[in-house]
Amino acid sequence: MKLGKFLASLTATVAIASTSFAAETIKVGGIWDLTGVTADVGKPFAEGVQDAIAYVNEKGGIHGKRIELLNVDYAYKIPQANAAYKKFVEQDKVVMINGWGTGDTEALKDIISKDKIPYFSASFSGHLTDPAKTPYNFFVGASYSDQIRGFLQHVKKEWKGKGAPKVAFIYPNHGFGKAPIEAGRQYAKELGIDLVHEEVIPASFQDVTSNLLNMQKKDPDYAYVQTTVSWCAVLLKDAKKLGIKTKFYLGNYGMTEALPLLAKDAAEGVYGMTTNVPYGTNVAGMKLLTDWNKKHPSKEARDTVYVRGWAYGLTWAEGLKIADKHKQLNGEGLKKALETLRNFDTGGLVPPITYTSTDHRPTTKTTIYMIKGGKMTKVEDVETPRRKEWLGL
Amino acid sequence: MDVTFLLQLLINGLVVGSIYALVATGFVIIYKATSALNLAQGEFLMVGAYICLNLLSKHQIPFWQAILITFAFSALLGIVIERLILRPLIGSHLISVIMVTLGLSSVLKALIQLAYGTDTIPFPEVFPSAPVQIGPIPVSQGYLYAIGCVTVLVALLTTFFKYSKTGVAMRATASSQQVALSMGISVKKMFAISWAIAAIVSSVGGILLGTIRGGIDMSLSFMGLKVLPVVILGGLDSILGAIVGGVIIGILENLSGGYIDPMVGGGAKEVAPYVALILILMFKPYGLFGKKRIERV
Amino acid sequence: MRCGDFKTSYAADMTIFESNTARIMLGLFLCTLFTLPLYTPGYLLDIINRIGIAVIGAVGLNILTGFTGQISLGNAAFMAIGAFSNGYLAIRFGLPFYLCIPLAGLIAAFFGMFVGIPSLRIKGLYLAMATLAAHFIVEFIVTKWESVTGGVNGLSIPAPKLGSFEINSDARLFVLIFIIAVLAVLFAKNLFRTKAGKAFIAIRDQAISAEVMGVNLLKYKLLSFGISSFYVGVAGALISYQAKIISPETFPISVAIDYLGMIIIGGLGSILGSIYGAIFITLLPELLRMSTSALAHSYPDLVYKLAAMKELVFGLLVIIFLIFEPAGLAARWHSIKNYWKLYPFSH
Repeated sequence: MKLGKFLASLTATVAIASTSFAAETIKVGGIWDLTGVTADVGKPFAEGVQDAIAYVNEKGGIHGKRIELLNVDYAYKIPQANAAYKKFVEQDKVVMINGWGTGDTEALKDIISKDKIPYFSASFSGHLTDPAKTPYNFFVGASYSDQIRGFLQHVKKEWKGKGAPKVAFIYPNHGFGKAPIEAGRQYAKELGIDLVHEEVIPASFQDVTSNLLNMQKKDPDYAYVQTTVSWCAVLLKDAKKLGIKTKFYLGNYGMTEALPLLAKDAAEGVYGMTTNVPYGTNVAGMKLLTDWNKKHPSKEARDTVYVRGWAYGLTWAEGLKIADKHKQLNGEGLKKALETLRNFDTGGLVPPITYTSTDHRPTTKTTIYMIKGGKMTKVEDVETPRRKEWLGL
Repeated sequence: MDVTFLLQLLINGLVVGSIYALVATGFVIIYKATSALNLAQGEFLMVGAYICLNLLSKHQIPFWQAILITFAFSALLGIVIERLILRPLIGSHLISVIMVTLGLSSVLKALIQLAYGTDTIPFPEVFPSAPVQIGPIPVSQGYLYAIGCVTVLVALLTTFFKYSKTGVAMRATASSQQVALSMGISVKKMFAISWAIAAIVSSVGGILLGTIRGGIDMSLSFMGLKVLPVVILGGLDSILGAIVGGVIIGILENLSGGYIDPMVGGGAKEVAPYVALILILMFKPYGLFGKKRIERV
Repeated sequence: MRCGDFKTSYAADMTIFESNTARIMLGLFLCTLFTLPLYTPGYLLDIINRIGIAVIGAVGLNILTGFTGQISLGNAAFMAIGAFSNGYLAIRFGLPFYLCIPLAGLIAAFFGMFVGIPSLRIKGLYLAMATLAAHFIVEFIVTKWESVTGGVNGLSIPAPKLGSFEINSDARLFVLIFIIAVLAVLFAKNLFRTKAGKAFIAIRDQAISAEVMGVNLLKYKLLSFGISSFYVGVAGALISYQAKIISPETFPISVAIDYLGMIIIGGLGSILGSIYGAIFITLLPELLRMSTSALAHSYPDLVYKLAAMKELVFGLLVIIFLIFEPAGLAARWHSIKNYWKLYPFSH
């Protein structure tokens, strides 16, 4: 039975391999974290992109050309991302790459510019937004820096207490954790918000009690946590155990539907910045996703990070279409094509996306959600100004 | 100095340390009986936690029964591993024994990853998570249960080794295999029992960590490496040493987390046990309670 | 056709190559080896380069663990020291690679000897733990010492230059790596014909007897740590050129375990074994990936399982080799060779 299935799949593979020579394909690299410390969000993201591309292919691909998405799991290790990149560029000759983390994307950014390979990262690091420095880096949504600015803006507006609000930042010591911190420091100062503490936590841990106790000594009113959802959950549970009264705000990889499942009642009343809507939100574009999942049922729970993956896939597929129309299906052509996108709408999955040749900030809009009754509930939209001096910060 | 802060660090250290103590106890039992260094102890903990989780959430078995089945499974795992992997290597070079347990840890980790993936899986809440006040300090109930469990388990183990026939036989095997053999003790059986006990004790640690954290993932296996400073501090062949060492290392971690981390920007908590390990090796290589053996290198 | 061994002088017993045939075969092999870049595609060449680096590291580790009997779990840390020293020297002082690489090796050797000091007081198992602790301490320092190591973001290493000639392609890097690798293997092979090498083996086999025979344990244990860490440090320096980007994550504890796996599977106390092991362990994930990518269309889940499968196969191989072939691939190869040498009269 098993063997039969195996053989059947083998013949199917051969069949696909031989037919794929007939129709022209566009090769795209995918560097995902499926088993590393950020796999909790890396997996749904990868599935989102894969499903979006399968959908695009089903609808006829890029003017008849199939997109062939090659997948590599780099386990959140910079050297492995480096090796995967080399393979994609030198052996597979891909047109572009959809990558993942901040550390690896920032490490690769010079080589990317040199090789002229458009690189969509799931990292929203603000350092990747200045085309003068990183002309080939793209992402889809408000940068980590704009998220933390949005948080500070929201705090400023909401604060009713005496004196300046006291804020703490909590982040692990890696590229993703550190990405928005400098922007946060500067903007807090500008808004007159008192940044009382920064707590560096490990990338993976069993408990963070001592870190939270350190933070508690400074008694902040708000804390911004920049890490992924599983670690946020452990942190929130520890905070609840210690009876900490600080209001927690999470970054866009911390606030997902998985949070209340993991942290249970410790997640109640926690806020988070999101760059795209949760799964099942009533927007025009969501029907695509729900229909797709009805047709291709999966045992995986779909969440906001999965929606993010779709938004990525739809956005760069659009870029490929434009590039193909101009008969410039290569790295440079794709970059130019993407930079013509103005308020590209994914049906409301993410705020409208705009890239220009001088500004790769796709949007500065984020939405604050909170966990209420174990569900993500919308609080308000925040939009931060698009200042020139914030490019690349 | 902020006394509440210090007390909170100490209490947290005590709790984390008591779990280290459990895993270290398993480690010491194996070392004592078979002179094998089990670097896969953390994986035993992880396997125990996953088995228990599977029973609880997939098969909806009541908590106490699930724990008993987990113990039975862990014991079986320990025995099978001893029989298949460790026994053929009796008498071979130390590096082989160390490497075989490293290989074993790779295999166990890989099997868990293949079966359950790397996601953090929510663990059912067994203990209420609301904190109770002890004086000025809020302490999680889960912590109190954890300390309670560890105490009971250690008492059980002590009684077992002191009064039961098997326990005495195991001690005899540990002190001299030759004499034990001549007294009619089946040394092979004792080896198997020590691996079984070590696996059970570790699985208790895994279940406790799962309930306290609220979820389990692959990072649990890292506990195995944390245990090395503990056993070096306590003495490789002393159960008492494992317990005292576990608590000391747990407290040391939290104190360095509380006082040194803010100065260096994080990371001190993780590295402190290893600095301690080096210092102990330099000044007191046989640990606090270890037996001194006159041995030339 | 040769059969049997009959040696009439010590020189004949000690010689590396038993016959002219062996010398010619090796010469032919080296010639073929160095033509590889001419017709090997880039990605394959990159794998071959990684094999070359692994050979240097594994030979180094085998000198310490296989020949001198000292277990070290700290080789990833020494490798990191070599890599970051190399990067710092190249970036900060702009030294050319032919100075950077040996200096990086020397710095690693110095640290290796420092970590080796406890080996004089404590026995094997404690040494394993001390080197493990050294690993985590080095990892901590590398992460924290941002002015030198670049912290978590790591360092971007400029391509090595010889005058105006840039070693910037896989093919050029290949030549650099394999010249060093061949020298490293030859040096190691010769090392065990010298007094020092024999002292190492004596220490491994029976330290007390060695001391009685006049082997200075302090001197030779530290020397072994030094030579071994030099090799590992040089391997680290080459990794920094090969990867172009190094970060603390480049050298996790699993790298140390992989290298131990190489010498176990290849053969403890065998130079040739280290080479087999290095080739095998470097190729393992690539082979798994290739064999699964053919099936990826029908089993899209396979990509999730790859990391675990590599871990599983690695662990199983280590266990199987330790139980059934403790002398590793080198011994296996030897017995196969002997069987055919005397065919059909082998017993």
